[in-house]
Amino acid sequence: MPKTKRNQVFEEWMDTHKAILFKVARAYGATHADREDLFQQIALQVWNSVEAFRGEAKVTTWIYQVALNTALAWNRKERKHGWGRQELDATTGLLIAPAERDPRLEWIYERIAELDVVSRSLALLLLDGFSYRDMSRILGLSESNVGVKINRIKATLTAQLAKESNDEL
Amino acid sequence: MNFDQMLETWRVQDKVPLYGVKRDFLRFEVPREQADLQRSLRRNTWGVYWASLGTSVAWQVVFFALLFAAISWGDITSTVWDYVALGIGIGTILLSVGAYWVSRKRHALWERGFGNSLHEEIRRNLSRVDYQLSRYGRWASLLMYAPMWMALILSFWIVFRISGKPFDWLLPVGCFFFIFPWWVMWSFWFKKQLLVYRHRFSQLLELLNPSE
Repeated sequence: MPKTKRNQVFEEWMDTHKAILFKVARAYGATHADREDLFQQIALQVWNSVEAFRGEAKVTTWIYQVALNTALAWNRKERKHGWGRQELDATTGLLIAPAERDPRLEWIYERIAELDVVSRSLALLLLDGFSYRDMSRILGLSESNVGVKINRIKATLTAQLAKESNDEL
Repeated sequence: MNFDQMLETWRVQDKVPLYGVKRDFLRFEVPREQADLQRSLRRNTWGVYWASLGTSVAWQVVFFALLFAAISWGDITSTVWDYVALGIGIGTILLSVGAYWVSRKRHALWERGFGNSLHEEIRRNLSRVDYQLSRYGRWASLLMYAPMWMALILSFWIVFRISGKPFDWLLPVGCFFFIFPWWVMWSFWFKKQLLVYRHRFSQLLELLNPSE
């Protein structure tokens, strides 16, 4: 695939689906600097994956797959020590956070961050309305295994929602 | 907030993105960064190997040039052993290049066999680490750098040959025992780094398949 075509596809994907990258970076990065670094890594991998995309899956599914694979293999601390690219707490100004954010959305991300790294992937896919079949394809798990894990995640989130409602009362 | 309200809150992000992003980064920086990354990966994969191989080749070229110059100037008479030594030197280099090339090709083919799911991606990463571990085992790394060792032995042999003294094995053996402990320490250090990755990928696989 010529480089210009690849860049064009990448730009189109980013225009339509960059929210996926934000969500994954927000769910896996502990600090703003981490999120910027992870966002950058995912964007690189998505660009890299353009050529391999055969249209067998939906673009959303493909980008989620690339983003989650990158997030799970990503470890900023090791990257920093391995290649000495930048200080751990240094931000690059790549991601511009809004001045005010919905506290309910922040609450959801905090609960997601409390899950283990694999359950975090499932929680993101669950909230974005993916079917068990798609989740199983993205993660390489059986549908029944996905079902069991999703039920656990739902139960955890529901319990926390109930606790939150009681606290509000 | 109930579960449905939570989903509603979540979906707002699709209309109002969580962040703003520098457009130039996506247009120009990503392709450039990717090219840099590929270069750096290539450098890391091949750099040490080609550097050591290049040094060994240069070393052998210099010493054999000295030997054949001494022969052509009539300082020493040529024997069959000079050509045997030259053959051993070239043979070791060719064997090392061939073995490394075959091993890289075989592993690249093996890596392509994995699918695109998260599970498969972790297995691919794990296999990559295992491949690195097999290369940096003490004996494997000694074999990988065989041309370097051979160049060392041959250069001593050539020096003795030109000076007309009988070859003393103690010198190359002494050098070997001087370098070997450092070699082992370096291999252990490298293995330790790789084992951290191995542990992490194994943990991820366990998280995906707790029953396995």
